[in-house]
Amino acid sequence: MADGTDFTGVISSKDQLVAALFDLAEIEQTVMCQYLTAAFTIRRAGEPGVDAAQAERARRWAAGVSKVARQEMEHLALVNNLLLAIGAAPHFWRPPFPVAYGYFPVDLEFHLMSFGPDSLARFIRFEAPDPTVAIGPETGGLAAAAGGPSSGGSPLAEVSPGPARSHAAELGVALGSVQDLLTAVRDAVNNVHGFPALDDLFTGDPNKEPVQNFPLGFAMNIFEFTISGPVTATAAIDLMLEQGEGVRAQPDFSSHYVTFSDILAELLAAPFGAAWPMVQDPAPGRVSAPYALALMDAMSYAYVTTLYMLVSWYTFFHPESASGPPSGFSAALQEMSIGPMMTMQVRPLGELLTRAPSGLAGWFAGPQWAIAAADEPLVPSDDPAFFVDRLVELVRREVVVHSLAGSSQPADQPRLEYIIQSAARTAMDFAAISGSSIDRQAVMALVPSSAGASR
Amino acid sequence: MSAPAPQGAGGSAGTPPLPPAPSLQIDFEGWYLVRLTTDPDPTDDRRGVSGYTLAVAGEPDFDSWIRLNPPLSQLREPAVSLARLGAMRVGVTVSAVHAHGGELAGAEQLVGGPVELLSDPERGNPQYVGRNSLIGSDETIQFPIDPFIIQVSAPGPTPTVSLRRADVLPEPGAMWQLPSTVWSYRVGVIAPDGDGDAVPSMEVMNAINVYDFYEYYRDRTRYLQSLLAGDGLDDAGREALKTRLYAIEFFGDRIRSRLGLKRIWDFAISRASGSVEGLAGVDLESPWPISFWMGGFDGDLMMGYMRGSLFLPLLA
Repeated sequence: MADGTDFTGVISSKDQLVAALFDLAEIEQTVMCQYLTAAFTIRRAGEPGVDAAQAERARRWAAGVSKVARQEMEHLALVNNLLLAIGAAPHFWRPPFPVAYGYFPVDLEFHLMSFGPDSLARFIRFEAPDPTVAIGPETGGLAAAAGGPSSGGSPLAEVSPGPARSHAAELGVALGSVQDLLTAVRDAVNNVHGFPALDDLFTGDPNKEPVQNFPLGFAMNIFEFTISGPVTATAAIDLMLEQGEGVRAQPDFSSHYVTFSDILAELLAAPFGAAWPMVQDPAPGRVSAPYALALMDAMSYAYVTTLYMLVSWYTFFHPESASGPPSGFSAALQEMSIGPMMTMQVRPLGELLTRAPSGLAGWFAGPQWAIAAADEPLVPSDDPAFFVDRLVELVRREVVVHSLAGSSQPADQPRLEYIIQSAARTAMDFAAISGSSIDRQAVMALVPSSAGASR
Repeated sequence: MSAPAPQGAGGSAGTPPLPPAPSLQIDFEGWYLVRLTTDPDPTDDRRGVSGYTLAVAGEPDFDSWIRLNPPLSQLREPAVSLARLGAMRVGVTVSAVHAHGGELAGAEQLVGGPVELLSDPERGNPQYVGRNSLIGSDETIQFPIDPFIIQVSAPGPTPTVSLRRADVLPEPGAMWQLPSTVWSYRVGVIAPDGDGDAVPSMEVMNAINVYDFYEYYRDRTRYLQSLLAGDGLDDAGREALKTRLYAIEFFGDRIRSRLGLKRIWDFAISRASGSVEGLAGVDLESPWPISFWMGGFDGDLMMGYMRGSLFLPLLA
C-alpha cells in the first residue's frame, strides 16, 4: 500500500525512509563501538602474555579491526549525508549496550567484548552477506556463540540485552537483515516501486552536508561523498554493502566479512591470549574499582562530547573557505571532532580502560560508551560556549582520573597527563577557532604536570 | 673562498631575510631519521597501530626524535646497506660554505661535518609537534619543530670548528599551552611555488633520485619478500617483515605520496646568543636566518631528506 503502512519490507513513504536511515545510523554506530572496544583490548608489544611475534600478529589484527571501525564511521557519515540530502535531521544516538536487534533470522545480540574467537564470530555474523550462513567447524563450533551468550566472558552473570527500538518497524516496515534494510533504502531512493510519496525526495541542500567529497579517502581508506540524488544515494548504499558484506565486490576484496574471517582463521591456526580479559558489557556494578569507574565516566563524557560535535556539525554546517586557517563555529566543530577528540581522547582513554583492573580479580574494565540520560536527545547546539564548557569539564573529569591513578595505576599518569593537555588544548583551540572566549590560564592551571610532560 | 650570489634553500621559493653582508652561508643536506606515529594513531602511541608508520618487533618504541645523523644501528634495511655502499647519503652534513661580502678563515673546515638538532633538558628532543591537528595540521602536513637548537661541526671526533644556537620562542611554555601565533613561524609550510601536494616536488625527486613512486615501493616489496623467503629469521623477525609489507600494501597511495612531499621552513634563529668555537668574527647576537626543506619521506624506513642553508652574520 502507498500509505506508509506497508508490512512487506518495502519503504513507501519519506517518514519510513527517515526511520530506516535512523535504524541504519544506530546499527553502524553500535557495531563501530563493538569493534573499537575489541581493538582496544588487543595486547601490545611489551605487554604480558604476548611474545614479540605474537604482538606483531595481534597488532595487524588490531589494525584490521580498527580499519573496519573507521569504515563504519564512514558509513555513519554517509547515512547522515543521506538524511540531510532528503531534508531530514542528522542522527547520532544509539541504544545502550547490550542490545538486541530484530533484523536477523537469528536474534543478534550486540555486546561489548574482548577481542577473541567469540567476538570475532559475532562480527563475522554481523557482516555476513547471507545472515543464515553457519560459522563452520574451522571456528571451533562457535556458531552457537555467535547468536547466544558468550563463552569467553567474565564470571559475572550475562546481561540480558535490551530490545532495540526499530524506528522503521514502528512505522510498519518489516525487515529481515541489515542487507534487507540497505536494499529497501536503495529501492526507496530510486523509488523503484513508484510511490508518489517518494517522488522529489532530495529536497536538502548538498552544500550543507559537512563531509564533502573524499577528504580522507586517499589517506585513511575512508570514502565519503556528498549525496545529492538517487545516483549518489545508490552509490553510498552500494559502497556500504561492498565494504561490509562484499556484495558485488571483486574477488579477494577485503570486505569487513573477509577481514574478520581472515583474522579468526589466523587466530585459530595459532591461538594465544591476544587480548586483555575485559568484563563483558562494562558498567558500574560490573566494574567496581574507583579508578576504572572514573575512567569509564571520562571516556563516555569524551565520546558524548564528540557526538554533540558531530550532530551539531551536521546541523549547522557552513562551508568554510578552502584556503587560510579554519575559522568560525563550523570549522571549530570540524577541526576538533575527528583528530583531537577521536584519536587523542576517545581512543587513548579506551586503551587505558581495557588495562585498568575492574575490581573483579583477573578481569579488566572497558568502555561503556554510555550516553547519560540528560544527553539522550543529543540536541545540536550552535553555541560555541556549550562546547568550550564541555571540553573544560572533560579536563576536570580527567584530572580526577589522574588523581585516582596515583594510588592504583601510577604508570598511567604520564599518558593521562598527555591526554589532559590535549583536552585543554582542544578547549582552547575550539574557542580560538570559533571566536568565543575562554580563560586560558584557568584551563591550563587545571592540568597536572610532571617532569617530562613538557610538550 | 668564492662568493656566489646568496641562495635560498635548494632553489625553493621563499628565502629568509638574509643578513646584511658580510655573512657566511652554510649549505647542508642529507637523509635523516624520525620514528614517529602517524594519524590516526595518537601521537604518544609507543609503536603504532592504524597509521602507516609502525615500530616492528626488534625495534625500540617510537620517540618522534628528528635525528639528523642517526647511527646505522637505528636504521632499517635496505638503508643500512645503501649507506655503506655510498648509495644513500645518510646524515645531514655540510655540503658547501660561501662567504658573502667578507672572509671567514677556517669556515671551510665545516664542509662534510654534521648538522644536528639538539635536545633541550626542558623541552625534550627535537620533534614535529602535532597532536593530530591540535598543533600544526595533519591534513596539510604542516608542523612546528620544537625545540630548535642547531649545531654545525667540522667532521671528526674532535671538531676544530663548531657552532650552535637555540631558537627561543617569544613566550615561555610548552607547545600545547602556547597560541599558534607564538610558534607559527616554526611551521614547515607547503611550497608556495607549486601546486601544493597535488604534484610531487621536482626538487625533492631530484634530491632523492626517485621519480617512479610505484616502482620504488614495488622494489621495496620485492626486497622485503626476498628477506622473508630467506633463512636465519626467527618468528619475530618474520612477523616484523610481514608487518612492513602489510603497511606498504595497506597504505598504498598514502605512503607513496610522501616521497614527493616538500615542506619549507624559513625563519631567523634568535632570542638566545649563539656560540662558536674555532672561528672568529661571527655575530652571535644578531639573528641567524635559516631556510631549509624537509620531505621525500619514506614511511617504511621512516626517513626523510633535508636540504637548506644557515646564514651567519659576520662582524664588521
